[in-house]
Amino acid sequence: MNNTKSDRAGYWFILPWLLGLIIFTLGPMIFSLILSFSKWDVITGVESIQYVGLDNFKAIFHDPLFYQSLKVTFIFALVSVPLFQIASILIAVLLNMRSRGMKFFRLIYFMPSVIPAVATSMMWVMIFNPEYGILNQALSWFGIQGPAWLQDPNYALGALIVMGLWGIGNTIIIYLSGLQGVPEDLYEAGELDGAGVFRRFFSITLPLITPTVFFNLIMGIIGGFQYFTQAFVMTNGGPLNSTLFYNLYLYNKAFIEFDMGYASALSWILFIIILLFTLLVIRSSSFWVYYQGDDRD
Amino acid sequence: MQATQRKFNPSQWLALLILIAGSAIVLVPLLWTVSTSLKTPAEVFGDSFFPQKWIWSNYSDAVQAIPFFLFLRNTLIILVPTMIGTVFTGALSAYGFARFNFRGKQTLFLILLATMMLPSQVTLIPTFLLFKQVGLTNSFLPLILPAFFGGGAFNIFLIRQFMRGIPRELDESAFVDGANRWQIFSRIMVPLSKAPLIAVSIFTFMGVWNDFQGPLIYLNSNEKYTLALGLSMFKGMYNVEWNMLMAATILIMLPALILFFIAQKYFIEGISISSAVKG
Amino acid sequence: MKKKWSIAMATILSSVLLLSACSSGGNAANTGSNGAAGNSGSKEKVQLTFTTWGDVNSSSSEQKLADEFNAAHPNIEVKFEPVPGDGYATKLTTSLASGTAPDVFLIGEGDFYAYVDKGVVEPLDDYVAKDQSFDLNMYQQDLIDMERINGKLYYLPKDFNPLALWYNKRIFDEAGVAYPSDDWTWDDLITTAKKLTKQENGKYTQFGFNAGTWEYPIYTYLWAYGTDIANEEGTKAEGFMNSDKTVQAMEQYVDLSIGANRVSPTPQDTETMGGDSSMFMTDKLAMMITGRWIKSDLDKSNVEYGSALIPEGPNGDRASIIAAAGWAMNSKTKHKEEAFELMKWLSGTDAQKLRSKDGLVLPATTAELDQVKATEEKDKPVIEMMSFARKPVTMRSANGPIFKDAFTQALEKILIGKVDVKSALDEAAKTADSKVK
Repeated sequence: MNNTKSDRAGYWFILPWLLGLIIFTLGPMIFSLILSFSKWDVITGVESIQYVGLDNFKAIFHDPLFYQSLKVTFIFALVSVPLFQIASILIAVLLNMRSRGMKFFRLIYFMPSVIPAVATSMMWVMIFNPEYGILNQALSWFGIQGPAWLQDPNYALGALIVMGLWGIGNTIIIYLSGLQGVPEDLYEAGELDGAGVFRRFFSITLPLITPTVFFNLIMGIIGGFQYFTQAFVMTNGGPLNSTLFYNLYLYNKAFIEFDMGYASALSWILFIIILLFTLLVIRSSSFWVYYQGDDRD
Repeated sequence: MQATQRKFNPSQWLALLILIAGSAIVLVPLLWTVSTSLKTPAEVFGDSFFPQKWIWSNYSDAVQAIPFFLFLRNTLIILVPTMIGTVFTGALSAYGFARFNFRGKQTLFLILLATMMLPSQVTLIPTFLLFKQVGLTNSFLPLILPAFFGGGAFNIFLIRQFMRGIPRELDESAFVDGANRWQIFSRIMVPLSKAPLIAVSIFTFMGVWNDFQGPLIYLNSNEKYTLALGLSMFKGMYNVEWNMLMAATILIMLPALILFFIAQKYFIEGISISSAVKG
Repeated sequence: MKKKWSIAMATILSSVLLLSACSSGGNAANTGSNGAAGNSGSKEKVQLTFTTWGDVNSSSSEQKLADEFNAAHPNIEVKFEPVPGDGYATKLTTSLASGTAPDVFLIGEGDFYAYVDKGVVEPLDDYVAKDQSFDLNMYQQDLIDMERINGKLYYLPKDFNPLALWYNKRIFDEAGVAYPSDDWTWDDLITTAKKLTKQENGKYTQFGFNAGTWEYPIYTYLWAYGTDIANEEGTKAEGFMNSDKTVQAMEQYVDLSIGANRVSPTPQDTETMGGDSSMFMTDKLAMMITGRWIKSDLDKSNVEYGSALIPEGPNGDRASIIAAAGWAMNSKTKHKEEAFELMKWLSGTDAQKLRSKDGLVLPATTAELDQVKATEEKDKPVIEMMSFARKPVTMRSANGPIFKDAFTQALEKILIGKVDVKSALDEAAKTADSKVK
C-alpha cells in the first residue's frame, strides 16, 4: 500500500504479540541457548551452571544415539508430512460437500483429536496387538499375516505413522476453514464451463487454498520434527531405538539423566534443522502460494 | 448450492463411500473406549469387545473419585479468559501481519515462526524460572497471561493466512469510504474470518482442556488442579484403572465434542464474497 | 568461573523480565514454594511442604498424616502436594532446578542412587544420632540397608514391595499340579510351567510363566544362578554381563519365550494384553514374578491366587529385590530439623499402621510386619522374600543405568531373533564398558 504512515500502524496491531515475545518467550530462548554451552545437572539448581564452551556440541557429534534419533525423526517427518497433508485435503474436500448427514461425518472425523493423547495411545496399543488386536484380525480376513507392529523394529515407526493418520482431525478442520474462503461463485462458474470434478479441484480449489496448505505444511514440519507424546507413552523409543524420536532422546537427557546442557545443545541443533526446512518452504512459496488479498504476483 | 444437492452423480457416491469407510476406521477404536469404560476391571483386557455387564456406575465413581466439579471450575477459570485473549489478540496480531507493510515485517514473521521451533522440553524450566522470579507460580496466571499476548504463534499464523486470502478490494473500498484501520479490522476482517477464528477457539479450548504439562508445572496445591491433571490421577504408579480412566476420559471429551458440533455450522456455509461486499 | 557464569545467567533472565522488580535476591530463596502466601496470622510458623506421586486412592492417608502432624506441632505448618504419577519426574526436576522443590519428597528405589549422587538429598545420620526418641531398629533391616548409599542413610521408608512368585490357583488346580513350594528350584518352575502352557489351533491360550524383559525378575534369576550383569562396584560389565554363567542362564531364559517349547508370552503378547497382571487375572497366565503392588489389582478381580518364594538356583541361592519408595529431605531446605521431624512422622509406626490398615501396602516396621506375616497367608512368602533382597546395579553405582540399558537392549535384540545370546551380550558388555565413567 502507498501510505507508509498507516503501514506503521501495523506495529500497533502486532504489539500484543511483540510484548509477549519480549516478556515470555525471548528470555527462555536465550537462556536455553546459553545453556547449550554449559554443563548443568539440572536438579542441583541454577547455581551449578557451568560454562563448558563447545563441549556439548562436540559430544553430540560423536553420539551414535544422536544420529539414530535424527534418522528416526527425518524418516517420520519426510513420510508423515506429505502423507498427512494429502489425506487431510482429500477428506476435507469430501467433508465440504453439501449433502445431508455431512454434519455427523465432520463430527466423527474430528473426534480423535479430542481424546487426550494418553488415552489414544493406550487404545492403539490394543489395536496393534499382533494376535488379538483389531488391526491384524482385519488383515487376516484378507489372508495377510500382520506383523508385531510395535515390537518389531521394522514396523514400529510405520505403526506410529498409521496412528498419526488416524488423528489428523485438526488438520482437516483447518483445511475445512480454508475451503470456506473459496467463493461459491467460482465453483458455479467452473461448473457452467463444464469442468469435471478433478479439473475443478486442481484449477479452482487447490490454488485458492494454497495459503492453508502453506500453513499446514509449515506446522506439519514443525510438529513432525517435534513428535514426542505418543512415542513417549507407547514405545519409549523402543524396540531397539527404532522409535527414538529426537525430542524423546532430548527429554531423556534432560529429565532422566538431568543433563540439561546437552539437551539444550540438542534442541538448538533441531531448531536450526527446522528453521532450514521452514525457510525452504517460505522461499518457494512465492511460486505456489496464491493470496487473493495480495496485489502483486 | 441447491444444484449440487439434487443430482447425486457417481463421483459423489464414491466420495460417500470413502467417507463411510473412513468413519468406520475412526469409530471402531472409539467404540472400544466406550465399551472399556463400562467394563469391570477384570474384564478390561478380556476377549469380548462389549462388556458382559454394563457398569454405568463407573461414570459416577469416576466423578466421585476426584473432586470433579472443583477441577471443572478451575479448568473454566483458565479456559474462559484464555479463549477470549487468544481470539482477540491473535486476530489483532494476525491482521497486523496480514495487511501492513511495516519495516522488519518479514524478520518479525520469521521470529514468530521460530518461537515454535525450539522444543518445549528445554524452554520449560527457563520459563518456569521466569514466572517464579515474579512470584506467579502456584497460580493460574502463568497459564492465562500468555493468551493476552497474541495467544501463540500457531493461532496468529493460522488467522494471518486466512486474512491474506481475503480480497483486498473489500477493505480498500471501506478505506476509501473513510473507515479507519480499527473499523476495517472489526467490521470487515473479523466477520470475514469467522471460520478460522472458530477453528482457533476450538483448538484453544482443546489445548486448555487437555493441557497436562502447564498445570502440572505451575500448580502445586490440589485445590487448584484441572481436569486433565485429575484424569491422570487414575493412572497410579503401578496400576491403571482403565475402566475408570476411560469413563473419565469420555466425560471430559464430551464438552469438546458438543462445542465442535455447535461451532461446525461455520464450516458448512461457504462465504459468498459478493454477498459479503454488499452486506 | 562457575560463580560468574551463574550470575550472568541470572542477570540475563531477570533483564528480559520487565516485571522483575520484586525478585527477592538470592537464588535459593523460597524453598517450599509457599511464596507470598501465608504471612498473615501466625508468622512464626515454619512452613513445610511434602510431595508424593499420587493416584486417586493413595493420597488420602498422606493428607490425614499431614493434618495430624499439624495438630501435634503448633510451630510447624505442613502442606501435602501430591503430583500425578505421569508428571512426577518432570515436576520434581523443574522444582529442584528452580529451587522451589518441597522440603520432603518421595523417591523410588530406581532413583535412590542418582539423587544422592547429584547431592540433592540430605544425609540423615546426624539427625538420627541426635534424636533419642527415634530408633532405626524398629524398621525391617533389609529396608534400611537399601536406603543407605555408600554407607550413609538418605531415605526413610514410606512403602515397599518385595518381589515374589505369584501363581494362579485355578490354573494349577485345573491341571492337577501342586502349588509352588518353598524348596522349588528354577528347574521345577520351568517343568511346571510347561505343564501349564496350553495351545489351541496353533494359538497359545494359556502360558505357564512370564519371562519378560523387565530387568528386576531377571536379576533375581541371574543371582540365583550366581551371576550378575556387572561387578559389585558397578564399574565393569566384561566378564559379568557376558560371562559363561550369564550366557548360559540367559539362553535358558529367552528359550522360555521364543524356544520351541515356549512357556511364556513374548513381550509383545504381554504388553499388548495390558501387562502380565491382566493376563494373570483372566486366567491366561499361571505364574509371574513381580512386586507386591500387584495384590491390589488381583484383589479387585475374581482370580484365585497365591504367593510363593522365588525359586532357588542350582546351588541353593535365592534372591529378591525390594521395590521401595523412600522419603528424602531436600538438601536445600531451610528448615532441616523440622523437615526431619516431618520425615519421622511420615515413616513412623503410626504412619505405617495407617497405610497398611487396608492391606494395600506392607508396614515397614518390624513389629507390625511380623503381625501381618502371622495372619496373612498370601503375604507370608512376600515378607520372607525380603531377607533375600539384594541391590541391583542401578542401586550400587551411578553407572547403573548404563549397564541396565545395554543389557535390556541386548535382550530385546535376542528376543526379536536378530542375534544369539552370546554375541549380543558380548557386544552389550563392550558398549557398557566404553561408557562407564
